[in-house]
Amino acid sequence: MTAHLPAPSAVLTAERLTKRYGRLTAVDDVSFDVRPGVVTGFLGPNGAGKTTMLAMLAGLVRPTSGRVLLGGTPLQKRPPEARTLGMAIDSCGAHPGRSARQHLRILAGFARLPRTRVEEVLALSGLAEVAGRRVGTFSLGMRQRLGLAAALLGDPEVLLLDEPANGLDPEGIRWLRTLLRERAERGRAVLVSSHLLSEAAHTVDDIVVVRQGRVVHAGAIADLTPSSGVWVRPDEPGRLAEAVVRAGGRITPDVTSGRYLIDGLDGPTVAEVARRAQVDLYELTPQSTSLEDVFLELTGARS
Amino acid sequence: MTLIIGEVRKLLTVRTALWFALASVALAVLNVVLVSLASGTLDEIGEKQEALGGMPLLLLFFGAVAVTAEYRHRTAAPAVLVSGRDPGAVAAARLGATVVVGLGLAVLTTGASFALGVPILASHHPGPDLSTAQLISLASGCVLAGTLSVLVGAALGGLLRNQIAAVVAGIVVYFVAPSLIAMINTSAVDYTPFGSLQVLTAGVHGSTHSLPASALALAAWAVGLAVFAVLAERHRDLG
Repeated sequence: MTAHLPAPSAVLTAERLTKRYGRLTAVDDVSFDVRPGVVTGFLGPNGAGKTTMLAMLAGLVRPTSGRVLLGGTPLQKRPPEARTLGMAIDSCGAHPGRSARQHLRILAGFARLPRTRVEEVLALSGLAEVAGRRVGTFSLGMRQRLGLAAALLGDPEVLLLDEPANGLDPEGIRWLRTLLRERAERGRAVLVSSHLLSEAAHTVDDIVVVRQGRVVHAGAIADLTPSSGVWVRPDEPGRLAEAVVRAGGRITPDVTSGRYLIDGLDGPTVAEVARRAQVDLYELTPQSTSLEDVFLELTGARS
Repeated sequence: MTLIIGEVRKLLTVRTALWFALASVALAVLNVVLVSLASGTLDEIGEKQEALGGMPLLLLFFGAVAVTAEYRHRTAAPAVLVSGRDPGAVAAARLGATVVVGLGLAVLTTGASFALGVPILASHHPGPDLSTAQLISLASGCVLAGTLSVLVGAALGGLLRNQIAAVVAGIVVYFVAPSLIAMINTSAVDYTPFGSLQVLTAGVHGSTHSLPASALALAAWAVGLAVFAVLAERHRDLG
């Protein structure tokens, strides 16, 4: 593994982070950057280590090895505070017996922020009308909004959100997407975790895909292109295989269906290759893959 | 100071302190009424003092419950996140805030006990009345015992982070440990939290320990546990 060099523009950098709990390795040598003005999706199936990773980025969990750089400075030297880093964790992190307003006022007090800021984030998160209600009476979606409101209190440079869309209704999800895009447009950095690519694809610019605690893909979402392929059912598989390889393709048998998957050649080329090799094709079907399929393949959910 | 004020606000915006205040006052009043009225005539100073004092067990539990609630409801992390301070500093502020609120509960409980008990005991004759100095000394002991018990409970809560475990640990520290220590060395019991409490709350007569010595012993236990809890917090994860 080569050393990870943080991008010059990175506002938050995970540098070879590892977290072990006894014999269990929750996060394994993970490195990536979070850039300002960009929404970064942190994607992976449940149990992939996303929450542990976010907690390490926020300084709540100590890495077994590796370090986190906030604005180029190690977290130990520059502990995050409300103006530098906001994080929505555990739904909202508020006592169920406290009202939303009380919860935010207490946090604002810790951060030495004015009370007017509390009213601003209450309005921003759509909780102004229920701010006097106890958090224990809130729905999951309302608690998510409260968690976001708390994270936004200091208008931080970096926003870390752990599965923020959980429990939000369609209107709430649209609100969330708009909020994240607006923050990115204002030059803020956003890292949002999710186990659903379809949900994140609408919002994120960069993605970091994790599987069993390791990064399996990091880069722009545009780079995560679905692969193409063609399913065929030939009368002479051996002869077709030779012809496909000669043409620069790759052929893989599917034992259960009796079909063959050809990669590297498109449908018309496969038909032409088969015609020249005098192989009859009883089926020729373009493989249908989506971004979600690619994600499932990366995360190992589809073998 | 900002952290302590914030933590005090946290404690005062939930009902835990209120319920413990009500229960603690009720228990203190019940204790003084039962001992003063049901025990016949209390005609000795020691007996009268014992009637007014009481084991501040509920205050020990208040400390444990107040601090462990932070972990139970996962409200400990946001304070660390927004304040920019290390978890140890926030934990120390939390213990300090719990002591501040605990002092209020101890004053309330002792005040209720004395307000009801002193007039009742004054009617117990023959026998001397408690002097003003004796009353002040006992009240100070009770308030101190209650406040330090809150800190013991809070420190155990911070160390164990689990409500039931902290309450059980409190019971062990106060009641089980002294019995075990007594099997090895009887005089050492006087230096345990329980032994010190007994002196401070006049639960024991004829102790060789003075009030200041007992206060110091209990304070050493409470502060020692609190320091241990803060150090532990600095080296543990919050996520």
